Amino acid sequence: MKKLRRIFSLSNDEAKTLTERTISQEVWQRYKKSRTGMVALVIVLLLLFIAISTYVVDIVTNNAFYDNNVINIDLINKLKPPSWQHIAGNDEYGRDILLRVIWGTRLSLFLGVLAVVIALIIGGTLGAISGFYGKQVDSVIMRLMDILMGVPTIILAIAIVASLGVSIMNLVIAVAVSAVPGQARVMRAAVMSIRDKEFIEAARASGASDLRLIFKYILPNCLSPVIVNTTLGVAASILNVTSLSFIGLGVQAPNAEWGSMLSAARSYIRVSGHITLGPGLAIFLTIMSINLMGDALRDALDPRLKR
Amino acid sequence: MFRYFVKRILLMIPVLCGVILLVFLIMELSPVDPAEVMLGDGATPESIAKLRTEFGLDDPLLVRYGRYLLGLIQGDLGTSYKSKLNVAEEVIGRLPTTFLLAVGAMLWAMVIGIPLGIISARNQNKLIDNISMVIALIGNAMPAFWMGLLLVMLFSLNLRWLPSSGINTTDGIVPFLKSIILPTFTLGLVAMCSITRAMRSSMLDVINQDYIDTARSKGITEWWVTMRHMFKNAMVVFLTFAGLQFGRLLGGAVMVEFIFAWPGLGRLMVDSISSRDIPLVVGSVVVLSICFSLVNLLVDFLYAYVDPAIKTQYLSEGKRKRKISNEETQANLLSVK
Repeated sequence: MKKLRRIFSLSNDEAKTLTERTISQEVWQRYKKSRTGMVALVIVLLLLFIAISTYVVDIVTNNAFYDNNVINIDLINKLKPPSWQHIAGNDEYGRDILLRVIWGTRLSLFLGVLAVVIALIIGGTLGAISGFYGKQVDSVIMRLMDILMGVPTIILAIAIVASLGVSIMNLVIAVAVSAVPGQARVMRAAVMSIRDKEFIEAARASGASDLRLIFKYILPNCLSPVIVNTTLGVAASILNVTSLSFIGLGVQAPNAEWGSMLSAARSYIRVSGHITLGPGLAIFLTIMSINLMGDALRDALDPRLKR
Repeated sequence: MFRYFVKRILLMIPVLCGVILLVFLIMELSPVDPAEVMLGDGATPESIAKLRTEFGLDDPLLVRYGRYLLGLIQGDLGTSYKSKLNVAEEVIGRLPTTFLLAVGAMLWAMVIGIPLGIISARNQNKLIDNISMVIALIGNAMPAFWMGLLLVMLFSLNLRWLPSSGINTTDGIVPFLKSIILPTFTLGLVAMCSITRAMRSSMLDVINQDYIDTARSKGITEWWVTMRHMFKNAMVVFLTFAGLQFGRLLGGAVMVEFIFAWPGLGRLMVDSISSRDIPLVVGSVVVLSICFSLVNLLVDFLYAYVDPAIKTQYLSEGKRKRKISNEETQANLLSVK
């Protein structure tokens, strides 16, 4: 900053505005302008806060609160409609639905995020290699991705869980693998658009190794499509996680997870429909806000795309 | 043009073989021994070993894979472990029901989505545009399985207008139509919302172009300008998108079939997973994937046929190794989604 001031003989404030706005601040300035994006961001942060605080509560109370309110059966209150004590009503075992939805947040949310992170690491690496080296490497990797994409996403995930067996880890693996080709494609396209730029050539001429080229020069420049795609990918993964749980191939009862809660509620819709509302609304709200956040991010990261 | 078609068809074959190999590899990971499943609790090691040789389960993966491919060409997908039924018959028998579901869903999506998209684009940023965009956003985030439950609760349990599950093929046309309304609508909702958004954005692409002003200056009616000049040109991008949606509907059908006890391929797959009937699972996944690839191939053909730019490109540079694949069209549409 001092240097800038000296060179351009600027006042203190002017130098500040010049230096302090990094790219992420620019993006944040643009993101702030989107009202829906901000609402979505607040909701997502709230969900994260809820998910983390349920862990804190569990640790502080040594799982006592969790066992008593989220897992333990209380048949006296079975299927009770919403009341002041239980705002969302009680489920088929008399448990408070609101509490179960709150405790379900962490599984639905973190499993979705975890799956996308795994998909991003695998798919992103494959896509970057494919885009950077091109030629045979590219065609081999892309044909493999074609094969993965030849099976509809959810069916691929179902097949993987069906084979590996039903468990939370296998659920994450299945959702992650089915998300790999999407991540790879976006990363490949992004890398290819940067690969032949002059500054890459310059870096190469100055003796940078391939790894350094990829990590230092190419990846930072193709973050925006990857960030947007990952954000939207989280929404899709959460939907897949809850879908698999809904058909009984994901998180199993009595664990609180939105998809499996809905699945259990399904048998009781004839007697008391209210038990479908809590988990359903939670899934809907989560996916909607992550989608809106992704849209706002896209506009903020690449203003040219904005309509 | 013909060469392009042939090439695409030939290119699809290795991908399909790869898909089948993938399904085989996935199933190979299973810790469950199919022979034990077949024999149930009373299995002895000898009977298991006998059954394994009988079904050729001890052969290496590639041998079984080759055998499966040979069978597939002859229309044989093996025999079910549990019910001892012919998998091919079972799967092909279920296929029309799944297609009916997907086609019905697509109809909902087109009949509502296209007009809504056009109206939105024509009234950009006005109230009706905002309303339909909000609806599209909501519908996009709505999980099909929750939507299905809500619709059943409203239309079947409260209003008692429509049946809550199954498909009625025996009592004539009206009960049949009534029984397919809810499942098709549930499946079509997400596609409907994407189509509304895609239609709107491809209409907006053409709406401000010069030739639209030219058309207007000729004095033709606004309706004709919309239909003849905007809609027709917007269709090019849109067609691909709609086709890809149809492919996705085939996958999404699993969830809807599960909720509505719809006797389709997805339901068969989920049911055979719970009974650990691997040949049925493999058969359903393979047939669904083949249909999925075929639909996407048809979309590519349609796209190549409709878009004059691609047509001429292939007429003049037939030898150039350019593949109009889903990737590119999807990349074009990334801003839409």
